[in-house]
Amino acid sequence: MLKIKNLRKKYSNSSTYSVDNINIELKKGEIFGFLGKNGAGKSTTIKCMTGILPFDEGKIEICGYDIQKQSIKAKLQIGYVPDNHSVIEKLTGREYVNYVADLYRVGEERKERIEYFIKMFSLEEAVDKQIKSYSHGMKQKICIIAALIHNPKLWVLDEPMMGLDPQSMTDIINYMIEHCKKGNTVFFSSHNLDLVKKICDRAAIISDGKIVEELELKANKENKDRLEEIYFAATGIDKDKVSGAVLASGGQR
Amino acid sequence: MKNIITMFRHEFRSRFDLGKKASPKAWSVFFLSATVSLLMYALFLTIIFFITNMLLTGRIEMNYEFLSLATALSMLIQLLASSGALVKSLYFDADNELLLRFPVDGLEIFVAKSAFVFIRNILISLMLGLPFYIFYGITLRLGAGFYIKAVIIAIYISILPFCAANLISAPVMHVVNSVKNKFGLILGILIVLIVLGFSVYMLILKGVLEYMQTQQSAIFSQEVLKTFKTWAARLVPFTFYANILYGKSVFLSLLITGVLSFALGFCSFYLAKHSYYPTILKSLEREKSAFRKKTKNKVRPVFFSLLKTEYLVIFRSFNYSFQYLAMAITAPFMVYFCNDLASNIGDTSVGGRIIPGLTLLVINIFTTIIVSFASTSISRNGNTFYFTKIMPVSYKYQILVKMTLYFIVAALSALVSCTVVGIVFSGEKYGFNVGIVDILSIFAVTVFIIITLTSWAIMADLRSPTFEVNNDGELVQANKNVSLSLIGGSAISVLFGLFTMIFSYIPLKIGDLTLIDGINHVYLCLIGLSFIMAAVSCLLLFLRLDKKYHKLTP
Repeated sequence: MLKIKNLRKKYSNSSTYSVDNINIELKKGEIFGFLGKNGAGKSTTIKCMTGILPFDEGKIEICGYDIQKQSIKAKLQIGYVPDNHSVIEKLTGREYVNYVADLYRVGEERKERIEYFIKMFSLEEAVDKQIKSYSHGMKQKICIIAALIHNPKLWVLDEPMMGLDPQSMTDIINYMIEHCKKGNTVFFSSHNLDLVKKICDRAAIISDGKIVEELELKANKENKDRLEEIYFAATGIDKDKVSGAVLASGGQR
Repeated sequence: MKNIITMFRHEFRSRFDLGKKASPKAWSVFFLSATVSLLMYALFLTIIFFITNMLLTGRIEMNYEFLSLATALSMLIQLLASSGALVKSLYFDADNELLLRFPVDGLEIFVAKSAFVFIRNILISLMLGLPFYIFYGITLRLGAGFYIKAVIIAIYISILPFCAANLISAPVMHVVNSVKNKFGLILGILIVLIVLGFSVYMLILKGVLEYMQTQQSAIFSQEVLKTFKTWAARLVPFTFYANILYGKSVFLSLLITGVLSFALGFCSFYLAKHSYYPTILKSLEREKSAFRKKTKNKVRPVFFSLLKTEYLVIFRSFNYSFQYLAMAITAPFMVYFCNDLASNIGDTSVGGRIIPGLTLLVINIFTTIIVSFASTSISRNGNTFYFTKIMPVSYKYQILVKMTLYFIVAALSALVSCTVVGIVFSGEKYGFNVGIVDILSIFAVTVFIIITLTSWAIMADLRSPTFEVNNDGELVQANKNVSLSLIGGSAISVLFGLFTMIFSYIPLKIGDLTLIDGINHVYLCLIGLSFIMAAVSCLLLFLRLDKKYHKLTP
């Protein structure tokens, strides 16, 4: 479903590689968590995957299509939810989703899908209003609907739970699981280790642009239990410092 | 006070992009723009000089009334300019939300922001009002004392419009907010205002130019001048400022204007102290107010979906509607006025055969203004630029759709302009110098120039886009690509216009071989040349476009 081979990316104003020799392969029906500190290279990798950023070396294939050589076919397989949930704010929610559906060549079946998602995310009241009046979370929901409208084979989410209410978070998690059961794949970056533990089949930890750990979670209970420990060790965070701070406060405010 | 100074410095730096190291290319663009601005200002001063001369040396003595009129004009323009600037800077500034989070008082924000507008007002007064006074002094051969007084009064007259603007900016802001989502209404109002403003401007300019040619105040009859004189003498409170300059009841006038300025200043200070902070809070809340529009989930082809969205984003923005749609719709009116003026002058001074060339020049100058909007076609994506990268539509296709929209709008505008010119200027009054062949040829050349300029504009934006947008997702300011596009388009318009004017009179010969003989040859030549330019420009734009676009990063 997704093959990243030896991906290297250096920004023009930087002397070092932001993403250095990354290799990831995802299968059908997998949920994959992408972990790392701020600035580790998660978003850069995702932006290379989705065609937003050009890269220097390596190859990215989406459902067998090269993102550089067969970009249109590759992009048709992806549904992308950005971390900044930027959308065309002059449009209404419905206009925006229909616009995206047109671009992804979604036919009449969109009607049912749009209504389904609107109901799922409780956007009945807001969907015919201009997006600029939406809250942070509502914009995120519209981004998610737009990303799912063409039933993508690969659903890529960059920090998807930011700004969402607990109900919407639960709905998205359930939909991620449902989406994968249909033979699709989910790739998401997150800082939420508990969430990754809970739903991911596999995860990778990126630090300074390099993948430092790749973990089986579903098949390996030990990895699941030790995820925090592995994460802290891999990213160079002093676990004692973190837990010490929590302990010093007695876990209370 | 420290907060006010800090915020004022921030306002100043953000307005002028200070603190950023400019590249040599940016400097060259700056110098080019500065030169064009200076030339425009020189033209403005020339016009003022002739107006002054016309009114002060006429058959009716109206020296005092002239001062009153000049002061009124300067103060009213300052009022308009400062009201707009105050509303924009006090209520719609993107950093208001940020400033409110800091421990600063509403009054401090108000003072810091309005101080900038006040300085701007003084500059407007010195550049606009002072020349009238100086030319007045020169024409009447007044002594040095008058000029010193004129400078002081020019600064003094900027206080009252500033205070009045402060008072009316809050209600103006409420009106702006209340029509915010009525896009058709806004566009309609903008069109009416542009047409009215331009008509008045062109009528005055026509009168001035006629006066320059004949040295007779043809614009104003004696009766009109008498009415002017009567009204000018009644233009309170502007007459008080004129009194000071004229030396009539100086102390009383100083007292009245002082009291008036103080009273308005006090009221605006009081209003700001008590209502500015809650008003910006309310304004921030209203900024997010949006319309509701029930639409159907309808399937559209990719091309039309992209085209519709591009159009809606422009139509639903006050700034973009003004810069683009209002300009495109009002261009035929402007073409009519400019062509009327240019044809009259050209016909009198050179001859009627100059009219087709002038028409071509005028139509293409306005086409340039309309098409310059394309030079922000990529930048306007702002925060949603990423979406143009992820959508499964090739970059070439996306640009083609944008080009199509710009072409349709500009070509329709040019078609209406050509039709207007064809109807109005083909008659006996203009010596039958514009016929159907002229109009069709001018339209054909304009169409190819539209394609050429649109390609240039998009290429410029593709080379260096700026994605700086405000809270509404609109570009903070027009980037340098707009200036480049305007300069390029104007150059082509002038060259093509001059070429037509010159070679419709003089045949182009190389030895015994006549290359161009008559206007029809000129048209054939220009159609061929503009077609080649359009084809080459398109080729250059679309050649390796996907690669160039893919390299762009927000």
